[in-house]
Amino acid sequence: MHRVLVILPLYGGSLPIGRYCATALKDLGCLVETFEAPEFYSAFQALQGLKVSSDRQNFLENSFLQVVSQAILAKVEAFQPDMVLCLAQAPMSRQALQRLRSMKVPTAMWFVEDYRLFTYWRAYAPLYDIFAVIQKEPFLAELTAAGVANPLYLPLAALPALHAPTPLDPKDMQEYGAEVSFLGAGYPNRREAFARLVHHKCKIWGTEWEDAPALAPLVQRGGARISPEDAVKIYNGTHINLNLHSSVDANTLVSGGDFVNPRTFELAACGAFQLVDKRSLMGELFAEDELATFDSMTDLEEKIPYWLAHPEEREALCRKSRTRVLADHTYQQRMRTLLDFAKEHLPEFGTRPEAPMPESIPPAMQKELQDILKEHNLPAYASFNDIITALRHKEGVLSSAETALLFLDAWNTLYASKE
Amino acid sequence: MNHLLVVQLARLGDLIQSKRLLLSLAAQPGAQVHLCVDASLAAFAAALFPFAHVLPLPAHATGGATPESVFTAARHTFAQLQEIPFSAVYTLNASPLSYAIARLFPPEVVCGYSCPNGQPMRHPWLELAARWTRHRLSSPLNLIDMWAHLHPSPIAPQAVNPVATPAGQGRIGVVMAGRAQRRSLPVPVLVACVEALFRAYGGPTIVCLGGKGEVPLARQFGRQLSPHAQRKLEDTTGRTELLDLMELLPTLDCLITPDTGLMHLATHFGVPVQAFFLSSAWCFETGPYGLGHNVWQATVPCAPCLETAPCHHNMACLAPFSQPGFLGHLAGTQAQQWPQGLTGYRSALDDLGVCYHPAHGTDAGVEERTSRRALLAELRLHRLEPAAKGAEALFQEADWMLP
Repeated sequence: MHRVLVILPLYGGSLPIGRYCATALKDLGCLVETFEAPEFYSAFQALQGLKVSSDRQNFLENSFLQVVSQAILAKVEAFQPDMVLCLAQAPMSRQALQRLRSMKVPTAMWFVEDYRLFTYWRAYAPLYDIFAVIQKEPFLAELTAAGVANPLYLPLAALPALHAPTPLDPKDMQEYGAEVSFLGAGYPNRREAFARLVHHKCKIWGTEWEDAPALAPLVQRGGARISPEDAVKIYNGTHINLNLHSSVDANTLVSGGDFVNPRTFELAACGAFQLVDKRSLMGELFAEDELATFDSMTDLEEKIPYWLAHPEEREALCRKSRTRVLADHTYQQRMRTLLDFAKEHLPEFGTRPEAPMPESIPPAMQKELQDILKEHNLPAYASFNDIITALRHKEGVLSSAETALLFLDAWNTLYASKE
Repeated sequence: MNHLLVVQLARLGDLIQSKRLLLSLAAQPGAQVHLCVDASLAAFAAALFPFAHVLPLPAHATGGATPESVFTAARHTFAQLQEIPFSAVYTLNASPLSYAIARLFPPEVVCGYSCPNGQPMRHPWLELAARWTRHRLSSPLNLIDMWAHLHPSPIAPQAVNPVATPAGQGRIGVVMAGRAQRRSLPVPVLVACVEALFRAYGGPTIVCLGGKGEVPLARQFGRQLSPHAQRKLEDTTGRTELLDLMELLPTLDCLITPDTGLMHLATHFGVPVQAFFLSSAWCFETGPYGLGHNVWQATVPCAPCLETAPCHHNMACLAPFSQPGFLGHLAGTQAQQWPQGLTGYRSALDDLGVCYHPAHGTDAGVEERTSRRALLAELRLHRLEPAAKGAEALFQEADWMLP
């Protein structure tokens, strides 16, 4: 049974993806712990609000990140994972990564960002044992040239337990329902593009839409961040979900870039209809008849009325795209790919000795043990150490059987090695 | 009923040293005290603390314990404990066993070593204790009082043990050895000390005390005694259980002992103790509790040392115990000069607990210890102590700033 410690970022778009990874890994039978970096975010914000010199600010922020990195190392020491999986912007210092390497703890980064925008990858990528990315060439070759031993193309995905068809009640329909919607951050190309679509009375959800007066009446909830659960309601309540990949270039509204964003998979898994801009890597992820696409603003403007007028065709397409995502593009599949890749490429992965279930569990206790396995979502082949780890991490009061197992483990630690 | 639980899984000495806390809990209105101890000590604990409901746990690897027997017995006791609505649970040992047991209860009722949601934590008071015990020379508080002050208002130190008083039956006890050999006087030195006290007490019966492991020592001891003392020897080693000792100890005029559980049991009955502390034993941590006890403490520069570390000083702490100046003092003659590296302490009590005043020799740590003790008095007794100094060395930022 593999143990994976998932390091979440402090904030941002990769945060929910980290949580989806943790869920998927659990579904695959892994023992998973997450490092809840978002809980440290308010401390970081407080530092940012100090109004001190930039040198001092910089020093304080670095000190803060060192503390968080040390907390991660302490968690690694306690949990003894087979792999530390970091999501983009995880607060993992270079020093901490070097320490993990010297401890022979395999590390993986899923860099779910555009390498052209987030160029800091060069300083960190070689420190990870696996560097998974959502883009292909020339990025993969560049990673190898930069000294990354194990680059891996790992496109984004959906989490079927969350991203699912969801009927809305009338109240939710009132709030979330629309003919045309967009959910996402207000990148320059989107601001420019949606300014041309105001006549559709499109609802715009998400952050960073300030300073766009033409769109202000369309922005929902004052531009607040939207939770993943609310996003599913928006997707399900909308006839046409616009999905325009982000670009910082306001001159090229439909950028024709390479990677496929998470929204593409999430919308498809929801069985919601989307009009998505074509991407160079889209063809190997979806067939032509599984997505409705556009390749220019003119194309988009022509297709909106068509699809609004053909609900049956929309539904047929949605069924196809959902079937494809469930078959090939779930986070469970991505995590399976990552684990298989680790097995193949990292000699240290999965070599932690497994303690067998001791014969000390009396037959009468077997039933309770099975209940414990079930409660903690552990497979029947879980080792004694895995059960103990799960019990240690359980929140709240333990049962007498659970406590007796912890007690036995402590007793073994104190005495068994001395016999 | 107010159900209160103390989990004390260590050995005999620590069990007895939990007494002030146990008595403090028992003094609460409507209190029913429960006590979890190792199964080997359960009957003894029940006899020692009759007010407590004792529950056994297989905490020690003794008596042919197997993982299966440990699991089954622990599960049984834990099921019993979960039936009782405890308002407070005191876990006293810094041990993985304690942290495991703490998970059985809501974190808010656990005091001591707790493990809320799987995070091992020390009570702030124990955190402070861990800090002060790093500087043993100036260690300000005895273990009994350290545990007792987990309680917001422990009973008065005077109410813990009777004032030491000889039984008047012309019998003195000699504990042959403690668990750690290095902390016990070797037989020739012990013989010299006992002979001196034998003279001081006017030739009483000498009762040898110890388990089966001490039988050869007792024989050796007997052979080396003077013929007069040999005639007064009563060897009980290997023939007494703890419950027997509860009858035997109160018959003594004094107990000659290293730092042992029997020493603490003697103080429980008010038997005067002549305690020999050397090597890693340090009376300011685990000395005899109550009024009227003597501690002969090795205070050579390397004392107190670490029990687990090898001695590179040729056991220098032993030498003073053979010096004529000390033996003469024990015998009541006091003709010779008091030896270097040895301090004679007399036990005393103040509002905080037990303390030891030097009656012979020097006490290098007294100034700093007094300051620290005053700091602790301010903290626990809520009053100003002009002697309180060196706060910055004892208290840290986290005490001041963190919840």
